[in-house]
Amino acid sequence: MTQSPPRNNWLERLYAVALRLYPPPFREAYAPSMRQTFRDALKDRTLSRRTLIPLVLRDLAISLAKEHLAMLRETFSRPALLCNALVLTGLATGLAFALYSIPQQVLRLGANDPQIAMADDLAARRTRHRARGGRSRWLDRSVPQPHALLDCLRRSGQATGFAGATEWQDSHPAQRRLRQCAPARGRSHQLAASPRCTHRCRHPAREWTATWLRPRRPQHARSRIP
Amino acid sequence: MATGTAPAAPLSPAVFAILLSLAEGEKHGYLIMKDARAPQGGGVQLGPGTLYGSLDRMMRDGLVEESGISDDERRRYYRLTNLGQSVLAVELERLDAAVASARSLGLIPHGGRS
Repeated sequence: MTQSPPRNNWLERLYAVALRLYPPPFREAYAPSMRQTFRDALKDRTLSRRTLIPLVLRDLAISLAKEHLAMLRETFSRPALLCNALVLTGLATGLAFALYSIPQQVLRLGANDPQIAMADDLAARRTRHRARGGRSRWLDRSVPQPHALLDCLRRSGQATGFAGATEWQDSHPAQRRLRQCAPARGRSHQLAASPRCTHRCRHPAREWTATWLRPRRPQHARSRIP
Repeated sequence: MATGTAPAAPLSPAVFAILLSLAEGEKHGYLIMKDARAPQGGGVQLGPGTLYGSLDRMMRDGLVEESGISDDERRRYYRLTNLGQSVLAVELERLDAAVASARSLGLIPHGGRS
């Protein structure tokens, strides 16, 4: 027999690659026979390439879908295979959930660490300042006290940073005073009578208090201002 | 593996063309394709995928079997089983009755090709 022309070899190789798309059991059983049939068709002089190639392409599309559907139908008609598939699906879902939730939990556990470190640093600085004998600005109760912040963050345990911050705001004396003063905006004279009301709010009393607490400038210095 | 259950009539054009082709004797894949393409074989355009998919299902239904004789290890020969012959006979009777009915209604001229 004469050797087949190169174009036939190229078409055969392409068809052999396309045969890999069939389901494995079908491919193992029939791929060599299908390839041989295609080779026979290429050698047949009564069948032109214009007829054969569209026929084979259409046949590939239809039979691929048919064989894959048949394989699926056969799989789902066997209870043992279906059970195995369900168990595998359950295991895969559990694994995916674990892979998602464990890093989230680890991130949540370390959420307060930067705040705790900052409070520790503030407390250490305050201790050093006191040891040097200086008057501590921490005595001003309107300023957040580092020990209160630290205690509050430690009390909140491993809660999120936001939760700890909210608890601190509620428990700190300055914050409590702020909430007590806020509804009494109309009674500015009562608030103004207390020079300790130096919280940071837009209360008119704060403006007055700030003016009252500010050191007075000399008369000659004030007169220079145009 | 043959189950021995006959498929419900009417048969699909591919299965009918394969049964009709194998009624002449043992044949390999491309010969079946060629017979099916001919007008007297049903005029069905079978590709290799459809042919071997149909042969696979027909072997499971017990209509055809491999003869075991081969001139090439890649070329398999197939033949009809007894059940396949019976199914083909039933299908031909059904088609014959339909053609006779059409002829009695004057849809097919007497003596014409049927």
